[in-house]
Amino acid sequence: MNSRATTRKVVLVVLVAAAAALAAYLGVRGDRASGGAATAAAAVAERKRAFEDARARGNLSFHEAKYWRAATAAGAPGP
Amino acid sequence: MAGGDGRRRAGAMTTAAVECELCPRRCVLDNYQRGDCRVRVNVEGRLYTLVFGKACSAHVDPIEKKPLFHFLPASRVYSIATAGCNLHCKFCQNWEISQTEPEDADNRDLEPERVVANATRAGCRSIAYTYSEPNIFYEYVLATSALARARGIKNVTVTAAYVNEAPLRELCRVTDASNADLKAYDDAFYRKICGGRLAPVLKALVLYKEAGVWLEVTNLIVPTLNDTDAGLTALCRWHRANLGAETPLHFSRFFPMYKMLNLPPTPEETLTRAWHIARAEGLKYAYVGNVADHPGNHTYCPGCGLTLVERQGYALLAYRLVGDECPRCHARIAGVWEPPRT
Repeated sequence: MNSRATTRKVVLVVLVAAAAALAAYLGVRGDRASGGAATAAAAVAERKRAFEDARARGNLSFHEAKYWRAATAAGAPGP
Repeated sequence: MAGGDGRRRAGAMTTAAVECELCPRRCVLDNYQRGDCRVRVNVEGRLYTLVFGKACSAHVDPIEKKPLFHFLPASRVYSIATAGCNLHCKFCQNWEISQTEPEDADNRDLEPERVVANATRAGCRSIAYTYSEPNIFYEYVLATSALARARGIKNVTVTAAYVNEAPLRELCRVTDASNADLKAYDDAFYRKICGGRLAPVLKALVLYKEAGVWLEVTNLIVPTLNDTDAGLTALCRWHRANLGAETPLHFSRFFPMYKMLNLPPTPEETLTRAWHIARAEGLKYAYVGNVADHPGNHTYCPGCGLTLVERQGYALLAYRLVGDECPRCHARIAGVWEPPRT
């Protein structure tokens, strides 16, 4: 009996700990994801500003390139 | 929640990101990101070049400077470049323009029509897309070449040949001659020293030949990096087997430049050794460049050994071909020959 009770307690503790870990992980991931989106948007805004600065500063053209396609891979790594 | 947010991110990235298909890098670019070449940018899901009609160099050169030794000898070639490159060779001899942002270059407005007009006015038989890397100012080269060809002016590219098959095939339709680098027959060299890969270059060189473009190949010999007998022999064997014994091969002297200021200029003996290896491997037209007064400056008849074209540096001293033949043994000499107009 004592042995069974101990086993149940251990299993319960492990399950509770796993659930807590999962909840914590999901929470953190949610924060990271929304933070990541904000960071990505900020990065695009920063690149756009830098690009406009470059166009204002240098003698550049703006001519559509050949040989490209829309990328289908999410989370594109860049060059 | 998390999953939904992740999907939105993926969706946003997918609609704005583009993949450049010009060179083997295949840069995948998010909105307002530039390619590795620095001159292509994704703006709201479309790819643009920043250097069309924006030359940072324009000069009249002798064709021997490219070097092209079997193509309209002693003719003048109108030579243009833009900023940028898709390789990053640590020994780059033109790094001031190849490794800079286009907005930092001294660009002048030189639309294709004006390039061709300038070439005509300067008495040039051809236009060279050179100094940096023509494949990264691809659209500019293509438009100018089409116009030049329509006006009877030939087109020449001086290139590292780091380009994908489809764009190269299209460009070859309006290209008459090319001097392409084979920097080493060694993938590790391309990866470590140039930031590229060997295989796409080999494929491009073969494609030039298949497309009927007059091809000459240059190997810049950098002391300690690509100067072994074994490496040079392997390069010559690949050259002969895949490009043919009649495709000229130029061994060029390195001078300390860019990130390789620690190395000495290539010793003349090394270039002479490479020249002998190429001849021993059966290449009919091996040359030594950036060394004046070297026997490897001249063109010899592979049939009888007669000196057919004598050169000193970029200057042509004597020209003895009759048509495209040796005047003594009548062996045919590969190339696009016309007597110098002097």
